[in-house]
Amino acid sequence: MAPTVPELGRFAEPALLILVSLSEGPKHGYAIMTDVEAGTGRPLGPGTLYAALARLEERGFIEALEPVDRRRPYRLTGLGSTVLAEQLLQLADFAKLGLRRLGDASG
Amino acid sequence: MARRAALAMLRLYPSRWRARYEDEVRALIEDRPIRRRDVLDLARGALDARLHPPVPSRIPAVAAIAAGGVWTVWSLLILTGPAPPDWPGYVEEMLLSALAVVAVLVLAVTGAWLRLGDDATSFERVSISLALAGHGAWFVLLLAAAVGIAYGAPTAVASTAAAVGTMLVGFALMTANDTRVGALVAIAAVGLLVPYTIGWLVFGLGWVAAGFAMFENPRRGRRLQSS
Repeated sequence: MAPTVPELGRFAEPALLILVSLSEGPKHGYAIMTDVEAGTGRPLGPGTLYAALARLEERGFIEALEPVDRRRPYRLTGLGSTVLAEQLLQLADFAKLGLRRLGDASG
Repeated sequence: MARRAALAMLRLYPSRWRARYEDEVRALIEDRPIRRRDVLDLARGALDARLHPPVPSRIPAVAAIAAGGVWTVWSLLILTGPAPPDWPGYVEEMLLSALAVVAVLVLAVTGAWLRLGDDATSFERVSISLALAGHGAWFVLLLAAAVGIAYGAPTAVASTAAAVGTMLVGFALMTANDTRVGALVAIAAVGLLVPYTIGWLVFGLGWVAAGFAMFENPRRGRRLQSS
C-alpha cells in the first residue's frame, strides 16, 4: 500500500521535488535548489540535484534550454507534466488513506 | 576549502557527464555557499554517474566475450583430450585461466545486472548478490587450488551458487524485456550446472554470445512503458 514512484527511478524524491519546482516555469540548477529548500526546508545537494536532473532529462521528463552565461535552464516536457500529475495524484490518494485511517483510529 | 574540494570532486565524474554538466555545476558551486556535506553529495553523485552512465560501458561486454572465449577454448581442448576430468574437476594447467575467467566474469555479470537500470526489485538484488558471492567464493577456492590446497565439493557449491545467481540475473533481464541478453546469460549459467564438459562449452559460448548482445544498449525506461 506504500506509495510507489517507479517511473522516477532512483533519486525519486529529489526528482519529484524538481518536477514540482519546474511546474511553475523553467529554472536553472541554482534556482531549483533555492526553490526546493524554500518549499521543503531541506537543502538539495549539487550531486543529488544533477543526478536527478540527468535522469529526468534522459527519460524525457524535462528538457534543457539554451544556457544563459553558464546557467542552463530546464523546463518540464508534456510527458514530465503527465508523470508529475500521476505521481501527485498517487500521493494524494495515499495521504487521504492515511488521514482516514488516523481518523478511524482516533474516532 | 569546501568549495575547492567540491570543485575537485567534479574530476571524479565520467568524461561524458563532465562534457554535458560540468560548466553548470561549476557555476553553481562558485555562486553559492558550499558545505562539507555538499562535497560528499558530489562524491556520491560521481559514483552514481559512473555506475549508471546514460550510455552503458562496453567493458562488461568485452569481459563477457573474453571470459567466454577463454572458457570455450579450454572446453574444446578438454572435450577433444584423452581424459576428461570429473565434475567439477579442472586440469591443472587450466587453473590460472579459470581464475582469470571467474574474475573477469564478475565484471560481465555486474554489467548485465546494471542493464536493469533503476528500481532493482528484491528478487534482482538477491540474484546479483548470489551471483557475486558465488563468483567470489569460486575465485577464492580456485586460488586455494592453484597454491596446492585440495579442492572438491566446496568449489562445486561455489560455482553452482555463481551459476544459479547468474541464471536469476538472466531471468530478471528477460522479465525486464532485455530478452536476448537475459536468455543468453541464463543459457550460459545453465551450462555451468551441467556436470559434463559439454556444459562448459555451452557456458563459454553462451557468455561470448551474451557479450556480443550486450553491445546493444538496453532500452531505457522500459518499466515505464510496460507499466
